[in-house]
Amino acid sequence: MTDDSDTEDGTHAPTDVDRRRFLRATGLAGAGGVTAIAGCAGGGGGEGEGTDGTGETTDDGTPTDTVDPDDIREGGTLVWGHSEVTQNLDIHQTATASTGRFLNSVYDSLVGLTRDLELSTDPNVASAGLASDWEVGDDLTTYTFTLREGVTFHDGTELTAEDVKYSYDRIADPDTGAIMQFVFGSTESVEVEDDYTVVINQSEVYQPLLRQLAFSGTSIVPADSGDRLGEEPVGTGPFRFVTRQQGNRAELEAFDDYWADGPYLDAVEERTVTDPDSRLTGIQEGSYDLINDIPLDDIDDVTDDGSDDVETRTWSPLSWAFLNMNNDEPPFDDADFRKAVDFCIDKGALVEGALFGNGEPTASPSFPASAFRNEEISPREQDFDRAAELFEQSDYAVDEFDLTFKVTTNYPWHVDAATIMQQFFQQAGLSVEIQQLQWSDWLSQVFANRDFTLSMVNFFTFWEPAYLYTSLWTSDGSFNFRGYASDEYDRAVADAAQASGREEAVPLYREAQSIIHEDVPDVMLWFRDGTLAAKDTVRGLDTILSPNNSELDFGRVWMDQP
Amino acid sequence: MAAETGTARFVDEYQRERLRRLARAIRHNTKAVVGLGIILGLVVLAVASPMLISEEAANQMNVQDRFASPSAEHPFGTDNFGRDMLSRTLLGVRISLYVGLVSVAIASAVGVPLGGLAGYAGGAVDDAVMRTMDVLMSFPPILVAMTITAVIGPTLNNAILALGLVYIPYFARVTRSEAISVSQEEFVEAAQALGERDSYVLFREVLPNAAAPIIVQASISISFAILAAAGLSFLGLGAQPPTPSWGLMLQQAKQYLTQAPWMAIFPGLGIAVTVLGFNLFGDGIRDVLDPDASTEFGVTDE
Repeated sequence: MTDDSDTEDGTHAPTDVDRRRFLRATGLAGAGGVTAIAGCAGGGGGEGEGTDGTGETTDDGTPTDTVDPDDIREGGTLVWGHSEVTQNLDIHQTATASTGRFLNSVYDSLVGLTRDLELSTDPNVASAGLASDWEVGDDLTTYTFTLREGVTFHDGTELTAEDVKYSYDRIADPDTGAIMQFVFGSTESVEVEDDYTVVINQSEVYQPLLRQLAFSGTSIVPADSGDRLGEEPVGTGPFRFVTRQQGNRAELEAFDDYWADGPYLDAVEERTVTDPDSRLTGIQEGSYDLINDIPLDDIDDVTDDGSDDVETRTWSPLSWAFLNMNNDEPPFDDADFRKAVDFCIDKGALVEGALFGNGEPTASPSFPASAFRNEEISPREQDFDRAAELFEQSDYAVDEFDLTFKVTTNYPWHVDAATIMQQFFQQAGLSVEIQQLQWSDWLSQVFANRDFTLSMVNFFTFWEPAYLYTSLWTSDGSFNFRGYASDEYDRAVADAAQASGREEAVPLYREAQSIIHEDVPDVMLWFRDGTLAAKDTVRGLDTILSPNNSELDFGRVWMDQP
Repeated sequence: MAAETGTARFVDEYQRERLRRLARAIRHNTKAVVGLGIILGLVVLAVASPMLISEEAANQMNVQDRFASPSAEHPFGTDNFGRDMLSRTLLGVRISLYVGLVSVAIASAVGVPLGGLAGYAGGAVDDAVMRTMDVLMSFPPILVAMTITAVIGPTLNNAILALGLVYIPYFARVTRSEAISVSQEEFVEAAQALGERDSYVLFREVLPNAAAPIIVQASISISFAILAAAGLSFLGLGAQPPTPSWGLMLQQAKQYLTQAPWMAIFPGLGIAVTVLGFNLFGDGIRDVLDPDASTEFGVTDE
């Protein structure tokens, strides 16, 4: 199933399709895809990119997945042991991967995405979109979408251009507090041409627009549904939202009028099981059919044990983690101090100590095979002498602070990482106390209210550079809770967004990475591997993972059981 | 003036005699002696271990050496960071005792005077104080403590404070009932007849003579507090890493129960032994004080 060669390249046991996706995760539009040879992240130094892009379709090469449609059994309830507590259910507002992971089967976006992160109108791709066609004006100022006909929302209404206009207007409205509001920063208007045609008029070039419309954060919701979306999500996806008891369980039910093939399951029952070991025990004992995030210390055992009872999937990266320093407050308003902290941390030791080796250090948050990834920067090696010099250079004395490190128990390995880093900081003379927080407390204190000095968190679905680099570090970015502000950086990202094509944007995004590598608004820590485990009765396992490497789609999953 | 000093001396002697008899009775109670032995042993460990093991050494990580089973080098094995469990378990003694003693000190510092006041004053004061305490007691202590630490922030000292607060009613209740009976005693009447201020009578006459059951309550509360603090730490609301607190060590051990059971066994044993010690001691004294029991202390006046 998986090989356990935890080699330098850090790809750590991907399946074939994973590796291919991984390698082609660059998505230079129109260039036929760019691949890096295996080993890109470890030693390749960005060499070895070659064109590929011939003949491979999205779902070849996965023998386990080629199933005769006649063999598919319908029915059954899949019980999913989910690793995290879902939060705000409003798909436009929610900032958490946990909610996206759950709601991905409920919503569709306008633009489809293949496993290789190419945009597509094909209804059979990994993440199919609601547009059957689109046309982009030469000057990138008009986008005309043709909608699929016969698509119904879970409330029974038919999808029309009005719904698309409503959805995008809602995201663009600052009062909504949508995470992807920035996407429509250059949008002049969204116009309904007829029932199945909608036009986006741009006031200026915003080159990543189409790709952003493939995110679940820009999902299409029924017109005028805004107020109730947080209570009762309504989309066009294969599953209908039924109920949720936050922190406990939630239910999805098959939507019979789903516009594409599937779903095959009758229902999906989400159980919130934040304790990793309970998840593993649960699937071994048979209480769950599927779990995400196998406990890190058990991954090797579970994937290698050769037993047929539990199937696993491993991929990289699932998420990317970083140390958050409050750039608005002493001592982290001083760039030298921040860089000194970076020099204190041995990232390799963190991956080994907290992730049990199931990840790898990274200096850039871009996907390892992404063409946008700046291969010239690498994680700073631990160097206490350099750290001492930089502490000395900074405006503050290292021993004048008693810092609190807020870390969430939602990711128990973050607590472990914080414990290890605390030792590093102590060696450098920096006194740090750990404070563990529940996920909802972390979200309100650190993320929403910015009431923190030091923290850490991880991000998912960061495959698209405009989304990643805009939301996390631009001065008004929706995920910039550390308060980083750099005109130079903002300009690089804005220029990249306005570049005439993706190739022109590459050097700009790479420059943006260099800037944050030097300014150290955050210390980049690691890519963590993703894992799934399922009972052997669960089929279509290779279709579950969304191309964005984080969200789960149950639309093509079925269970082989009497 | 002379009369006053005389009275004070008389009361002191009376008290000293009472306590002396109590001590003698305790010596003859096996439970109390064993409990006291365990407590004294723990106190010695709590004082000695920080001299022998530095906190830095106990927090020293060595990931290559993680999950080492008990051996000559690591008699209690190592944890997921390769830290020596023996050092951490021993340092945990001090934290455990600190938690137990300080939270009970807080609870009794507030609860005892309140209960004494209620019992001695009676009437409306009694009602006001005790009904408030009843309300506080109607919530499960651990739940209240969790709420408090969640609000004021999860640190060890906040957990201690929270536990101190939730145990106040227990001390108030015990003290009140004892204060009521002591207030009927002749020496209290005598002091009142001499025109002593109420505060003097309460603090110098009533409360000192209500001490015995309070000591029992304290001893048992310490064990409850230690357990509850371990529970809070286990839930992430008490001690924070890398503090070598037993509750926190159990929390970490939970993830690795199958591959490194020693991570849970030794801190668990630590908690068990400590709680046993204080419970035995408290139980023993209670037996000694029980008027129905055939102990010599049960008979207050020959």
